[in-house]
Amino acid sequence: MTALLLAFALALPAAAASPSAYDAAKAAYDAGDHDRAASAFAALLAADPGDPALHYDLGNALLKAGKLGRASASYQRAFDLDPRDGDGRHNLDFVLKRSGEELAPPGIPAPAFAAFTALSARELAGLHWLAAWATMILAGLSLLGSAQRREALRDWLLGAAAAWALFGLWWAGLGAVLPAGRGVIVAGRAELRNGPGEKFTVGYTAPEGRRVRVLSESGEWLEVGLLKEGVKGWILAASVEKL
Amino acid sequence: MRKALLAAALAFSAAAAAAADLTATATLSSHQLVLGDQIVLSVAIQGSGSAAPKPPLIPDVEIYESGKSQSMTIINGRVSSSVVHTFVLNPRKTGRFVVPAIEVPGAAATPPMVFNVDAAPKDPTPAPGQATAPHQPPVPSQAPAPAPSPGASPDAFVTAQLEKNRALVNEQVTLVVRFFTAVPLLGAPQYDAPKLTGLLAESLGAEGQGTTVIRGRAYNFSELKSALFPVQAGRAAIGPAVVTVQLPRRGGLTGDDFFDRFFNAAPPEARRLQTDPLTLQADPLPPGTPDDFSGIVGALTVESSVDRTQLRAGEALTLTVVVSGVGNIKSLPEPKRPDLPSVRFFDSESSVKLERFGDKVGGAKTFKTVLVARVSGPLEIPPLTVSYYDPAKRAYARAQSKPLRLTVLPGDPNAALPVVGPGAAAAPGVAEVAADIRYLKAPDGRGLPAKALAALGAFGRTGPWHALPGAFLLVALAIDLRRRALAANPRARRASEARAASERRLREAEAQPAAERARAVALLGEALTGYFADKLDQPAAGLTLKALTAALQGRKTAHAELARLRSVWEELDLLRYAPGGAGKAEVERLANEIRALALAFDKELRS
Repeated sequence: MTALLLAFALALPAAAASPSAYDAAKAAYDAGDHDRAASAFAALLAADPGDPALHYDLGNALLKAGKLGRASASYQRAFDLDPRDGDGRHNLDFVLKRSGEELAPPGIPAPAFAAFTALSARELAGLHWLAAWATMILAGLSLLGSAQRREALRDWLLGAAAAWALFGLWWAGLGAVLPAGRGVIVAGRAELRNGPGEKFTVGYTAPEGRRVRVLSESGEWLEVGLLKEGVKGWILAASVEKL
Repeated sequence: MRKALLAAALAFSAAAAAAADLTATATLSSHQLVLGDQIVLSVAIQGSGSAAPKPPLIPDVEIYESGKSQSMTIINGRVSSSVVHTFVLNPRKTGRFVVPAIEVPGAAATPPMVFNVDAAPKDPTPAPGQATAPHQPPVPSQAPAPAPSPGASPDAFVTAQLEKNRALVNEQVTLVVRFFTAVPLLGAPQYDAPKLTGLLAESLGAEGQGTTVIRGRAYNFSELKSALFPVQAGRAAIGPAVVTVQLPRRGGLTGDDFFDRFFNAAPPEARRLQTDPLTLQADPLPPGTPDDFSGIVGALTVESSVDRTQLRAGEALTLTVVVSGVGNIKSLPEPKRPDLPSVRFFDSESSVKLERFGDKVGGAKTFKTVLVARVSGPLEIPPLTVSYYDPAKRAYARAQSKPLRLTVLPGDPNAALPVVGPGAAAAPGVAEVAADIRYLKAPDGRGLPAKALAALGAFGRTGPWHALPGAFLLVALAIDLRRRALAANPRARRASEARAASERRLREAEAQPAAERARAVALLGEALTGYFADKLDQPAAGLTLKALTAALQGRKTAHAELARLRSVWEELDLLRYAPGGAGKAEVERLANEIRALALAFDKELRS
């Protein structure tokens, strides 16, 4: 229980970003000094890495500085933390389109995808575990209690179990669409080779900003799969920013 | 009919084959220039069809079409054409610019190209109208109408002549091409305009025809005039102008017109006449270019107007700016917009109307801009200015419009959003001008919902604490299973609860006051007999020491335990009938003895 309380406490923001530091970063952005703005936003993020707004701002500065891939990674992090933010979705979709992707997978209407991704993977995991706890505690109490208590708890138990199943399936589905171990290509026209080394032939090239899934590692090479095309290959680790 | 169909099919297949061979190439007149110069982008399309390239979009570069030239050949029934589309690029700032791939329908896109724009040399800026360092005075024009070589009197020849051979960048120079013939032509002559390098051309049309005598021979002549504009400093080249004519074959005529016409069966002689190449030295404009310099060398005037002088805040109106005069009007950029924070300007649309003033090209360029007033109150649009270089005065000059005064009424809160974008007045709605990312988002310190969701996310992390409810459920399940098993077997349940029942009686006995010593002893006896009665599933009332000993004899009970049992049993019997009962200490001792016996026999009697 102590660990649980500690986890809740850690989830609370450590400290709000210093207004003066944020204002300085914003002023640099407004003045067109996007490299300096990106450095300032990155420093703010180091103090509060869970703030989606700072990831979003860093993405803006990086994109204006011409770093499409790193901007896409920042927007993706902001989206993972707060998928309901319309501005974040817009900017992520903007950069994804520049690299030949779209936020909503092909064939899925944008409103349906927005509803499906209304909750983040972490939030869904939390709801899943909350429903699991409720289901198991209610089931235990039903077992230990009298017949009358069992009857009284039955509807609650069914509801908790249904919520457990719903959030569990939703969480798993989201994990299939936005799998763990993702990364973003940060090098322009990155080469995907057929093995972990320069001696292997180039199988594909991929544009900067394209999202990949990291499958394995070998030295300074990563085996990645392109989420959109489903092809895979080996790429220099320096060409990918892991999410 | 079949032949006609066959011919049509052949023509179609030839056209299709030609279309399949469509190729596009793009070239730049230069890759390095200074601010204020222009650069020419030529897109040549080889093959059949009427495909046209889309003008490229380059930020901070004004682009306008300068026309196209076309040539066509038919070889062995195969039609092949070459169209060169010309665009003029007018950079607005220094830096490195990329001409993107140009798409031509039916052809592969051209590769991107790069050019660099350097800053113009810095010099003190003279006020408009102030004389500048005199530039090279015009050199007398090249020899007029170069005659044919001495002693020769050809039947036909062609000449090209520049108005002057030195000019400023974007200053007009007139090129005159004259075609002389002393014999009747057999067929219409074909004219191929000269190829220009570093120059833009505007046709001034066929100037006229006439007769003249050269070296004693009468010639008919016709002339074509073109206005040329150097696009950048340096040496510009005018290639040969070519006229292809069909002339009567020399020696094939008798000198008698009637007989010549009647009997002349000799084929005509095809002659290809061409001029000598010319060069034009283009000088840079004098230093001290004004900020609002348009690049025009000539004379300009500016007029501005609005479609209404009274509007509401949030409403749109159209500002029309007309810049007219003499010079290369096509290349004229939009006048710099005034800096008005209370007004939002949208992209402009422009149109050009060219005119001819004698041998000079001019016209008017109209810019229409939609603007939206943001706040109510009087609004003045200050004069719009355009600077140009006046070659007559050899100085920069500035034209400006009159200020426009408007009245902006408070906006209607129920009004629809202002219509934006040129031409949007006919189609109400919001039109996206350019897609871009949205602005920064300040961290809001995360309110309660965000904190709750963050806490939920933290709770969702994988951790050992998620085993707790599972463990609780397993324990509850085990308890429930045992309870069910006991409910199904009353004997086992009685035996399993024997020790607990005995313990309750022992505690009750220990709690009895001194006046109830007999009751305490009775409770001790019930605790002992009850325990063994429950364990052996026998009635407690009829259980004797003898019967109990007999029942326990069949088990592997230790003799010592049996002896202790007998001792406690007999001691309780004695106390039960003793007159004073038992003291508190004795009750507690016996209770502990019974507990020890119950503990010892619990394992023995479990099965």
